[in-house]
Parts: sequence; C-alpha cells; structure tokens
Amino acid sequence: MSRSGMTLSRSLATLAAGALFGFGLSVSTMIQPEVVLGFLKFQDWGLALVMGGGVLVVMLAYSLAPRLMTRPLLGGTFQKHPSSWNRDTAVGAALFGMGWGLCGVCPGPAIAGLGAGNASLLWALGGIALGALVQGLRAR
Amino acid sequence: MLSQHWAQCGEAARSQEYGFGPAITDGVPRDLENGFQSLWASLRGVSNTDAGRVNRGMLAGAIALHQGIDAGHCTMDSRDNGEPGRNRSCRRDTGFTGPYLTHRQSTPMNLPLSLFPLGWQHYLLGGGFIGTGTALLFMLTGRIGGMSTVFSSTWSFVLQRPFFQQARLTDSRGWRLVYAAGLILGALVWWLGFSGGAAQTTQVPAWQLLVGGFFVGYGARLGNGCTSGHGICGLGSLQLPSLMAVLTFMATAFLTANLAARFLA
Repeated sequence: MSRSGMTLSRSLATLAAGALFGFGLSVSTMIQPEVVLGFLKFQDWGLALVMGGGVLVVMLAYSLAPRLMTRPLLGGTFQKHPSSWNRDTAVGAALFGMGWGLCGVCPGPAIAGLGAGNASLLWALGGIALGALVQGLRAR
Repeated sequence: MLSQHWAQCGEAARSQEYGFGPAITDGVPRDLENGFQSLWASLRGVSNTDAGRVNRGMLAGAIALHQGIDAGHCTMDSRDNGEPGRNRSCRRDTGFTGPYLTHRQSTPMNLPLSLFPLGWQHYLLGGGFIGTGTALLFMLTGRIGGMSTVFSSTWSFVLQRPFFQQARLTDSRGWRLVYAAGLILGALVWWLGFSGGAAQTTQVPAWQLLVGGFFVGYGARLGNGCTSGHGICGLGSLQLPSLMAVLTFMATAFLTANLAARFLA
C-alpha cells in the first residue's frame, strides 16, 4: 500500500475505533452525567461494569496483539501507555476526581455527549479545555 | 389509572432525572409483584411499602440497545398504595429516580441485581463496545486510545510554548482529533438510530459542569490520564501506577459527589 493510502486507512481506522468508543459510551449511558453521579453516590454500580467490561477486552488485545503480530495491521508500532506514580500523578488524579464528582463528566463523555445532542456539555468541554490549558501554562 | 401513573413516571424520569427516552411501551405493565428489595431499600432509606417499582424483567441486550437507554418500566405498585404522589420512584428528592429492580423469578437474585436498578446488560454491552474500540485502535494502528491528551495536544495548533510543542503532543494531535471526531460520530449514530430521537439533556447546572470540567481537565493532564487513559488503557496494560491513579480519583470523586449531593442540592 502506498504511504498516503496507509495514512488514510490508519485515519479511517482511528475514526472507526473512536466511533465504537462513542457508541459504547452512549449505549452504557455514560454520556449522562446523572448516571455517572449515581454511581459515585453508590446508587447504581453500572459504571463498574462498563469499566470492567472495557478493561477486560482491552487487556486481551494489549497482551495478545504484540505476541501474535510483529506490528499493527496498518503499520506503525505498538505503543505503550506511559504511567508512573509520582507526585503529579497523585495530585492530578485527586483533582480529576474532585472535578468528576462535581460534574459527572469526564473527557470521553464530554466529547461524545455532544454527538447525542447534549449541548449543555459544551460547558464541561470548555472547562476541560481550559483546565488543560492552565495545566500546560503552569508546567515547565 | 395505572397507565396514568406510568405516563407520569415516564415523564418524571425523563424530565427530572435521567433524561430518559420513552419508557418501553408495550402498553402492558409488567407484573406488579411485591418483590422485596431489602438491601437496596435499606441502603436508600426507603421503606418497602412506598417504594415505586420498576419491573423491567430480563430484557435482552439487543432490546436495551434498541431502546437506547434501558429505561425499563416505571410502574406504580398499586397494591401498596394508590397515591401517585407517593410513588418514590418518580420523586426527585430521593436523588435518584429510584427504579427498584424486581427480577421476577428469583428472590435470591434480587440482592446482586439491585445494585443495578436500571438493569445491567446495557452497561456490559457498552463497556464491550468501548473496549472493542480501544482494542481495535491498538491492533490496527498501535495507538493507545486515552481520551484526555487531545485537550492538550489540540492547543499545540495555536500555542507556541515549549510545553505544547513537545513531540508527544504535536506528533499525535492529528489522530487524536480524528479519534475525538469518531467519538462524536459514534454517539450521533446511537442518537439517530437507537435512542428514540430525543436529544440528551442534563440537569447538572452549567457552573458545575464548567468548574468540574476545569478540574477534570487540569487534573487529567497533570496526572497524565483520565477514566479512559488510566482506567481503560492503564488497567488494560496492567500498570500499577494507573491502578493507584484510578483508586485515587475514585476516592476523591466519591467524596465530592456525596458532599455535592448533600450541600448543593
């Protein structure tokens, strides 16, 4: 496949993967802040199922794909999720949780919810973009 | 009278709490049995007699999918009392529409199932879709599909500061936007094809969305991951730091949500 054809097919794959993700968020009602807040208030444990189900599938793919294939089907290399436990991660996760508990919206649903016609989520989207901006400006 | 209750319930649930689509409308309330939801009711501090019930039976995932939201039946247990106003399942002050799931056949199974008063199938199904999307992205392109980085990488289009011009942001900003567009597309497909057509709404006040969003954005970028980055991808790759991050934000989120429900309501 030509280089540009490869780029295009990789983009289409990314779009399709995102669409599956967004569809899943919608089906599982995670795009509704009330449902997420219901989980955080111990009223409905659904979010644990959503996350558990997602993690299970991803765990299979992340562990098996690099063993079965030398590289991804559409080129590139298998990347790794970078994570380390340090002060930034701890403080960041704590702040993230505070915000999440206040609004019931996290980055994925903030984006996906717009596709389901929930314009109010633009507030959350703006807030997240602003927060990411300030974090970048404060970082060295 | 029952159908009237039903309509009220559906309307209340739709407008006040969850933004539900129309309740499943086969026109026949499922049985109005006196299933006992002891655990759930006691957790909620609701007595069994005035608890409104939702009997949704065991619906197949496909039906849940087709209904968009697995709203279930909001029914009045008329054998307990006949006052529509007392139907707790439709009252907002419970902080929850309170559909107490009654599984028809099995009393013992009520305990675990009542952790999921709106049913559990659509959660598992949706989680499967989310996982499949992330897994496909990895198998086809090798990319790790966390969702919060796009909020930093997109700023690199307009800001020249060294932080935003890091290679890890500029190299990925293109596909991350495509991925985000896919997210919107997927939700759009669900909305137009599966949800019954009503646009989603939320009762969470705008300031809460904005302020909460700010902390979500700041925290996720500082901590290098969110519910999908640490939660799905990090746990999926068995990273201990991600597990610690998930436990941390779950703890602060539980705390904040309960405090907010108590003092902001």
